Amino acid sequence: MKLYKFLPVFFGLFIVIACASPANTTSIEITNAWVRAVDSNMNSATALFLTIQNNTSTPDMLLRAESDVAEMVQIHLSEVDANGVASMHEVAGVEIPANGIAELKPGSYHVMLMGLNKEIKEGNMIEFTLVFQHAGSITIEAPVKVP
Amino acid sequence: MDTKHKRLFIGLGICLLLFAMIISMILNQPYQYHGFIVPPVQHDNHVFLRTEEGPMNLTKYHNRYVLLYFGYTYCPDVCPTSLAKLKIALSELSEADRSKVQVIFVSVDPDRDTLEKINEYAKVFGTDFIGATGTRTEIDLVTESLGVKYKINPPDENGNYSVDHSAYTYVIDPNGYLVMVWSHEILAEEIAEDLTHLIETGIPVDQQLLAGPTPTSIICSLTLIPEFVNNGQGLYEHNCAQCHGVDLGGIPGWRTPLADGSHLAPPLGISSVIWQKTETELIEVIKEGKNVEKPIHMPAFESTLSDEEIYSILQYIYSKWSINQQNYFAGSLTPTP
Repeated sequence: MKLYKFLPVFFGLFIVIACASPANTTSIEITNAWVRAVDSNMNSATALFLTIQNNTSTPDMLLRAESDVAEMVQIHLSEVDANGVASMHEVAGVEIPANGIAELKPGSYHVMLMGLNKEIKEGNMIEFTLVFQHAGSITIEAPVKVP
Repeated sequence: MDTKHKRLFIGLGICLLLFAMIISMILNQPYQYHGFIVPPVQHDNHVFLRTEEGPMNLTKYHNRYVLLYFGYTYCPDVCPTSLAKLKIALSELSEADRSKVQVIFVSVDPDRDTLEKINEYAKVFGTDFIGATGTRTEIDLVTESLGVKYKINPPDENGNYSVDHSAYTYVIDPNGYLVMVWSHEILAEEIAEDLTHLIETGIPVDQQLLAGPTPTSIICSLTLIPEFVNNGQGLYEHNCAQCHGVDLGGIPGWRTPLADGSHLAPPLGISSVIWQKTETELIEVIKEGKNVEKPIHMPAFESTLSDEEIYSILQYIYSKWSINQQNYFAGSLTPTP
């Protein structure tokens, strides 16, 4: 058998698998991250949305987020009450249950970006550092999307 | 054909007829709107706001349904979500229907949202979307009239503040009246469905009447003293009714200036525009008159009426206004900071 001929293929496969798998083995997994695009020449605010999956058997908490695109980065919760009135306030963090997920999505939790000092234009990628109580800091890149 | 077959035939015919009737009943069911239908209210549709292109009146958009949304551009979440939903809903309409809908985003945060900024923000969601705002008094006139709630929260140490606001979309019919409200939870396709039916058939009157009394609570900020209002009525009928009418309706055609630039007597009641003036301006006109040198003019009453009598007449006139007009006028008496 000329199995050695296939060695580079196996090796290649190994690399592909090795690269694809780290996300599954980390304790915290971030998916669906996106930032809402805002008109470039406006001093305004926008938000980062994402899904956090906790792969450990202990609850974790997103404590804060950091980014150099905005002067202020806070975790906020939007709520609409029974009278249809929307309000928004800062929260201490977002809990991610053990082996569960927390969704930061429109109309709910979001990372609010105020005092923007960069263009938040569709197609741009923005780097964020998310700080968790147990998992520590995780750096992610989120694409900017049109609302 | 024997009798047995005949009976079977008739029975089958009856069954078919019943079936057809049931089907037609189902098909004739009136469309159930996803939004809350608002009962016909006698609210004032002459309210106006400001846009980059100038003042805007709700009755300005003939043949169009106006979708009003109230928020602020610093809103990172709820406002863009709602506007994005409207954008998707409108993209599902036919081109003909699409041209009959106008979205207006109203900022209740005029301190931070300039006309330019609010307009730019609205255009991000739709090139024909309009951004509008106004002074605090002008905004309150519209929000109170439609039952929109909002609250400016105290600023943090950096001066940033959030604004609580109704997350509803208010549907104004082509005549400028509120007919429907969509909740925050409504889906884009439900909005598109409601709009298609609104444009095609409008809201059946019975559904509007069934909607019951308006839930809008309106607070009046103008103080009316019954004693003055009563005295004012007599004084009005004696001094003013001859030209301005017993019903305060004025003389038709008062809007068109006469050849010499003077006007016929304008209405002073609910159909008037004088509630946009200040009390000082009104007193001045009563005392000094208008166009006194021309054949058709408002006489000066300075020498015939005392200050208290003038005030009584004004109180009587105020009592004939809508709550919104009274509130607007009261706002101009004590401008809110």
